[in-house]
Amino acid sequence: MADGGIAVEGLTKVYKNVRAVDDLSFAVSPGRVTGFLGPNGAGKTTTLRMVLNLVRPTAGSATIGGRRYADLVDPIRKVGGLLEASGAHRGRTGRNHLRMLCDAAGIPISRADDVLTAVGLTPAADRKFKGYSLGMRQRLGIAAALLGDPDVLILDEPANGLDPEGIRWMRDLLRSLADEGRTVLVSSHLLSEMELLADDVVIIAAGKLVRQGPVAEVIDSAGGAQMLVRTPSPEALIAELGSTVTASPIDGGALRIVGADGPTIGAAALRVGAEIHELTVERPDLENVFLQLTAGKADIR
Amino acid sequence: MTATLQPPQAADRPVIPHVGVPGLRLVRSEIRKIATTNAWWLFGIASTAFTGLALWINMAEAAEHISRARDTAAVFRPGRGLSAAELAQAQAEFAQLHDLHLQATTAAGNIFTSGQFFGLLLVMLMGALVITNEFQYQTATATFLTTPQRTRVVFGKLLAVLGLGLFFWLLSRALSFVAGLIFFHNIGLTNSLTEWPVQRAIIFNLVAYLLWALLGFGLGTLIHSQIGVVVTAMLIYLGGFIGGIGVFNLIRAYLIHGDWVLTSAVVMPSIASQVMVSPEKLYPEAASWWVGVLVLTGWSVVAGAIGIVLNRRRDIT
Repeated sequence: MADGGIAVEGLTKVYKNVRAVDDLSFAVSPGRVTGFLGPNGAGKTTTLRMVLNLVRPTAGSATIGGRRYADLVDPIRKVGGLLEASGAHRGRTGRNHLRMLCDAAGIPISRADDVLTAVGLTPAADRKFKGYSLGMRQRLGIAAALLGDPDVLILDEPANGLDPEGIRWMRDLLRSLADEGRTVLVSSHLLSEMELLADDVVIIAAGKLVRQGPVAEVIDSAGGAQMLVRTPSPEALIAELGSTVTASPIDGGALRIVGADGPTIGAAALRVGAEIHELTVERPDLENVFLQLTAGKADIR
Repeated sequence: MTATLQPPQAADRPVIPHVGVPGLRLVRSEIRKIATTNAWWLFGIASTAFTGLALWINMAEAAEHISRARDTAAVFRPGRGLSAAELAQAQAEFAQLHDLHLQATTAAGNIFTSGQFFGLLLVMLMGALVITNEFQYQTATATFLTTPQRTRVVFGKLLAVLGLGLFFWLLSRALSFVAGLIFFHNIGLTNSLTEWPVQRAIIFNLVAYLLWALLGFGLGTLIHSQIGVVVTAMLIYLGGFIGGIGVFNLIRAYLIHGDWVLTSAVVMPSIASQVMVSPEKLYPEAASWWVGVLVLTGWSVVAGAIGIVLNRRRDIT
């Protein structure tokens, strides 16, 4: 499955007067869930559509397992795609929508029923698409992406319109797909959800790469962890920690300490005999880091 | 006892066999697309209704013509004050009207191709909708994800459209065949199906169904807007039939004085179609039937080729 990675190199898309995607490069590894994040209009959807050969890049390339999407033999057996505008005919049932995709891909139509079961849509299989809720439409799109049991999944905002139960279901599904060694690239606005789900993130803004890497690294790169300490003798503790750390008092008599980790603070408190009432790691969350990284780049272009 | 960390167990990945004939998978998919929406029976009902209506009119007319031809008591009574030439023409007309064989053949040609006028419009519209539906309902994304080679998708649709033309021809012909046989049996006359003019009419009726389906398809590849293509198709078809020859007559009368202007009216698809299906010359300057075939095919190929080139470059959003 080593060949299942996605490589984006120098990808650029210029519309009349907007560089929607601007010399974007990143890599997505198999066996991991990669979150693709960016403000509205950052170029996420355009990028995913270029990877899937639906939009022609102005420059650069995108390959999946070393090949362009258009050069894949039986692409939907290798790559499952779900895009925002993946529609279906309003008057066609979910089952028939999947069956006509099976026909085109040379997949037995019984597979349509398998994936309907997998996404929990069997009870609505014979209902027409126009009667589907947004969440059901997303599930149908995911069912379509799973038809060919692909090694690579590229999903644009799959959690859109899902209820909390649906989001939990989606998280478990993507997690298990990645654990089976598949490549999962998923764009989302739900940063807290991504923090729970993703192993890696790729953050773009204004069509450019802002940061990529494992979630923890990306978060740490934005300033690292802070310690929250509550003690009745703060002066003694600060003096013992020395000048390499910065400590600032916050509301309620606690201290926020940057530059020392838990063991260091604990040892210092023991030496000076200061009681510790609370010692907590305050890690910035993905949302803070994201807003910090994309600040000023999220304007409507 | 220590717990050992097991690598996550690989789930049983299903083995998905390859089915279908590679070249025909897309055709099959297209046929399923058509068969799983309302378009299917709506167009079927429209086609049946128009065929029925046309049968009713054609049979009423044929009954009248045939009973007149059978009226052996009728004698040629020319009006007064006719020139010799006019007299000869009137006599020839009378002879034609009372030629039972000729009238029976003409009636058979009309009855066995009933419903052609609207039938052709319907297959043209269906041919166009096969493409424009993909954009109207945003299924183009799913279609092109499954088959990123867009030209292959277009050719798959093309074969499906020809199949569709054939099917609607068969539907309309089956109806008129049954009705026609009953009609001729009832009036105790041969059904003329062994006559070449009748066979020719039926064959060219099929050719017309296929070519108009093709032309609609070409339009659909070119114009992706559903409304745009329906309006254009209507204009080309109905406008062409009603106004086409009139425009060329005006050009002939006021701009370019030459009979070739009238002959060249065949570039209009509707006139090309009529030129093609008419056993005799549609009008004295009309082009030959095969020119009609070439013109209709030409328009479809040109529209389709431009459409394919645009399609290959087009961003699907």
